[in-house]
Amino acid sequence: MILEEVILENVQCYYGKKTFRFTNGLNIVLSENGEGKTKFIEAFEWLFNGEESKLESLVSAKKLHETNIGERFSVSVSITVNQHDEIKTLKRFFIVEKLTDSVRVSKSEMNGDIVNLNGERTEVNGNHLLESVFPSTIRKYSIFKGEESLNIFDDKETLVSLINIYSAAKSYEKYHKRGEFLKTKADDAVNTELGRDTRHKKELDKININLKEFRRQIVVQETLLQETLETENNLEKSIKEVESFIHNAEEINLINEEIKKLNIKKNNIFIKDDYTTFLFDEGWILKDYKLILDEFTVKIKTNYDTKIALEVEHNLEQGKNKAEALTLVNNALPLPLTTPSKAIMESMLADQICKVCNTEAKKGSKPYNFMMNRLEALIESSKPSTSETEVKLFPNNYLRKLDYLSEELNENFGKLSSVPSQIKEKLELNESLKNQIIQIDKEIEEKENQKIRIIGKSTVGEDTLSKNLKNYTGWQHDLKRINREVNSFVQKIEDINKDLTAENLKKDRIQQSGGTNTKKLTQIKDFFQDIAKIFTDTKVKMFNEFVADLEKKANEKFKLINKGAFTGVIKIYIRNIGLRPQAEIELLDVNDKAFMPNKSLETSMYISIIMAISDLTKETQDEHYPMLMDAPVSSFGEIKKRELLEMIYNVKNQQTIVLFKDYLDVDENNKLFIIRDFEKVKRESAQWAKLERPFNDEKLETLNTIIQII
Amino acid sequence: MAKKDEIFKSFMKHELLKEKYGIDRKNIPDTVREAKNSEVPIIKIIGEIVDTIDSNIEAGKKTEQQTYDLLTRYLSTVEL
Repeated sequence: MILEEVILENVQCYYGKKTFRFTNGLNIVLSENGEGKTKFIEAFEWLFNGEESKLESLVSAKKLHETNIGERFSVSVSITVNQHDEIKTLKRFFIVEKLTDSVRVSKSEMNGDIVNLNGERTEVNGNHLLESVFPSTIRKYSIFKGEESLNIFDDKETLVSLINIYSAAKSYEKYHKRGEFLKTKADDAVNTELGRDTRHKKELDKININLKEFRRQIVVQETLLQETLETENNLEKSIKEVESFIHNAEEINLINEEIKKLNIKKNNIFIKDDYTTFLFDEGWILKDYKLILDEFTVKIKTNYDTKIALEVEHNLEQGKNKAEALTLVNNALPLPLTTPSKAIMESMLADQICKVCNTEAKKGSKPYNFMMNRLEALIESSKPSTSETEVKLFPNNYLRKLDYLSEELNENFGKLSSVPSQIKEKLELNESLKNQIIQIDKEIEEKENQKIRIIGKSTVGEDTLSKNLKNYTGWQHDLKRINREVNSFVQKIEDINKDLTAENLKKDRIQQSGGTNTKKLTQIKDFFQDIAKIFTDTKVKMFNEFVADLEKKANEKFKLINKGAFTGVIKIYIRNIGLRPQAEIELLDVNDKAFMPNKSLETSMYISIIMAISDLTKETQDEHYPMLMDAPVSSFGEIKKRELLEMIYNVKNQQTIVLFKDYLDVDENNKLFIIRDFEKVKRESAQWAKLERPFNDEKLETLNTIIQII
Repeated sequence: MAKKDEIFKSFMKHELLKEKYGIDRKNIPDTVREAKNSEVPIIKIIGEIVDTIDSNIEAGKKTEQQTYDLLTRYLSTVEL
């Protein structure tokens, strides 16, 4: 959409009909203070918001002065835009009637008409046309009054709103909703099917009631969180506003910077005190298990020795040669037959060495025969019994299994032996981290007190401050309380979400246990669940990609405006707190440390982001909108200003209207003139809004702003 | 490339398609039209959804309920 024309009729200093003409690209309107620059923006704003209480203040004093009592005239603001090759005109107006001692104004009205490509004119509802031409969501990010108004990003949700308006993520919102719908419908279908089975109905009903209640609680908590975040935002703004009045703002800025660093340091301290997880998942619960294991091991060993002794005795009684051959010297208890294993025994025999005691065992020697007999006895014992008369003393090998278990547990205990020291280290670490946080909090509190002292001493802006100062200390305390409340809401939401997940798992288990129909419906539900996940993840991905692109483009522009100067790097952080994500913008130095920029650097940072958004809009949307900036660069030096204008000029297909008093000067006769440097400023159009001379600055009825094309 | 095809392709980049459904990147169609004829349920279904939301023709767009009915009819006939 291109704004082609703005006509002001009898609006404040614009006497009669005055027309501004604009084109695509950079349009500059020069105007000295008090000569119509801000009145232009205010008239523009009135066209949009139609505020009735301001009507009388909009009336041109000169027109009123020249009008006879009982006569009427019109006050209006109209714009003509070219949108999709149609010419659309919007006009807001009201009628003024001059009375003997006062004026009577009618209610304002809005007219709209559209002229299509064939030249056919259609009258339409003005308000509807306004919304379609220049949506209200876009308008508030398109008009900037003064350098301060560029700080739209102080509101943490603004950038997120902008991204949602402009990024491709917007196109994915409907997919996210459709995915959720399909998932819910499929889930309902499974529940309905399961509900036919009385076995599950009762339990399922209970789970569904719980799920409904948890979801309700989440909505309540998220609403409360959102309200608290808004309060937090407003408090931060109020505090910042008071601080901006302070004479020694530099000192305040330094302290703010230190507080910011301390907060970053504090936020980087992560205390992992989820002891329940450590206790169960990490096996800390087994720290005193060693005593039990030792007792178990001794018992198994004793019983196993007894078993071997009994077996040997039994075998001797049975007259088994092999067992006899295995009898050890001094009637010592032999090792279990499976120790060493069959494979090891075979290897020792093949090598003719006893690898347990490192002794040679030549074939035919006593040690060789002993090993051979053990191997044969082992092979024999693993065969199923062929003799019906053979009686086994221990037909089941339970004790052997317990012995294996004992060995295995002792092996695994190595991993657990370090748990007591882990617990000790963890507790000490957490204690030390908690102390660090307490220390940082103390430092932050001290810095806040320093700020209060500085504000208390400030002598400049006392009148303005007197009301707010009373609240300043209270606000600081409120902010701390609000911060705690935010954390508490976030924690509650997390807890409820855990309950919700647990309940969903129960439901999943019931669904899995259903009949054929239920199983098929559950498969469909799972399928839709995956699709919903794909849609939601892709939406988030597109959002994040837009943020990354935005950051990259904003930094490119930032460097262009501040050519050769130290700028740092713009970093955009998106944090998901509550229902809506929030964005924070910081400038980082080479060491990735955040720092507070000076005014002009901060302004150029905001402009860079706004221009980057505009750039990206054209890549992702079919539509783009004009930007109006009133005195956006009052803190800029000459070179930096020209570089900014050049950067705006180079942004293709973006209509920008910049109004400022720069490049105007007065000669020795007090006559205004445009300085030569303006010739170097690249632009598509330039106009000069100036008061017709002579005029009496004490008599409003002498003021008439005229427009001169440069 | 049409907007709906771009949107479809962006969904096809999701790791779940490879990790859970074992779909090879080279077997993923480029357009919604091709996707709707796919024999792979997840590709076909996503193609159908994109077409019901961002169809080039107004009549091709469907409500949430119409989409659900259409998709479940198909899903009940295939192996998932």
